[in-house]
Amino acid sequence: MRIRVLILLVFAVGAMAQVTLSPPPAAGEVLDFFQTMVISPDLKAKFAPVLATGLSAGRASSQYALPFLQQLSVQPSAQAEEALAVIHRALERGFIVDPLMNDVLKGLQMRQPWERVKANLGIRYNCLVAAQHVLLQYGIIGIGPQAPGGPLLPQDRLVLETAWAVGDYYFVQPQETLEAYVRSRLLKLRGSVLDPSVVDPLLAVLTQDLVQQIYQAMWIVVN
Amino acid sequence: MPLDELEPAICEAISREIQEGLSVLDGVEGRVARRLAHPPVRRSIRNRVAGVLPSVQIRPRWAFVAGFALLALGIVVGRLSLPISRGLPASATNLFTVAAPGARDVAVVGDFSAWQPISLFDHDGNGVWSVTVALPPGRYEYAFVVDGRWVGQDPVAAEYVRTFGEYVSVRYIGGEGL
Repeated sequence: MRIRVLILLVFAVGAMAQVTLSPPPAAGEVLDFFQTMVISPDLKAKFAPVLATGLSAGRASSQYALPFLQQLSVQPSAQAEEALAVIHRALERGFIVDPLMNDVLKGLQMRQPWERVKANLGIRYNCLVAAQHVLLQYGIIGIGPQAPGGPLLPQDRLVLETAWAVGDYYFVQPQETLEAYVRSRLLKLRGSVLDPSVVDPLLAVLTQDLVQQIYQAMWIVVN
Repeated sequence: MPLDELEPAICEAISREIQEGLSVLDGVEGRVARRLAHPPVRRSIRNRVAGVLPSVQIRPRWAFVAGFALLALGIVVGRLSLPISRGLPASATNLFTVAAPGARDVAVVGDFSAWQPISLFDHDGNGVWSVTVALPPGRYEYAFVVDGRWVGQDPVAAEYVRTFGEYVSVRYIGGEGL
């Protein structure tokens, strides 16, 4: 009886054990893997230094970059190149690219046709460009480094989260207004991933007109 | 004569002299003298352990239990000493749970794992599968995959988003979205 209780106790402790995500691979491992990919030498030569800089500046994280490249490596080369070209452009403009890579991984995990994955990636990228453009226009953010190697600024995260909220609105098509949807998202992120000193100025001037400009600019970028 | 050899020689001489006069001593004096003549042997810890070990019988089931107890101790100690990223606020434990009676393979996929599956377990065999994942504050999208089937709407999710025609659950950790 005592043994059974002991064994049960041990299993209960085991059940409580939490999963800790494996530590991120080294940036060198990501870059080494990239060199093994079968893509055009031109793109490889262009992308490698940008990726290396993005990894060291924190615009790309190795825990997303490595699975992203691994998944692309089993796709046809043309498809891998299409996705890499978008990530390359985003890094060159100084955007945080982890969510872009994650979105591709999500689409592949959901076994979506490549055309849908690619279209989704394009929309997300356009949202980033549009959000940066409009937030700059409104004076919410300053002109950042606009390059992969510049220091990662809190406003880079604000651009990302604003763009992501607008993109989600497009995909989800909720009943509420775009302004309410974006405001609600930013408030939920306030104090965790968005510093109040960064997000509060945007919340203070956030209007339907402002977010509508991002939404519309998103399509101008597309065309 | 070296000093360390001198002491045993003196002890031996004293012991011999006492033994020679032992017959004439009685009472307390005699008991003390006898004790001095036959001093207790001091055994080292190593010798004591070596002496005890052959008499110990370890039953296999106790060895099994002890092994598991050590494993559990390791898990507990591991939990208490997990490294935390310096740039992020402390991780929070997040329970992902889904009811999937009769399922054979249940996993959670999400942006926190680069959409790679993390297995859930049904410890009680009651059809409720769960896993706890340590995550820093943020917004997390996730879904369950039950025997290869996408289950995107977790009843306890803060919200849902739909991409690629499928729902994905969203959980906020920390900040005002908690």
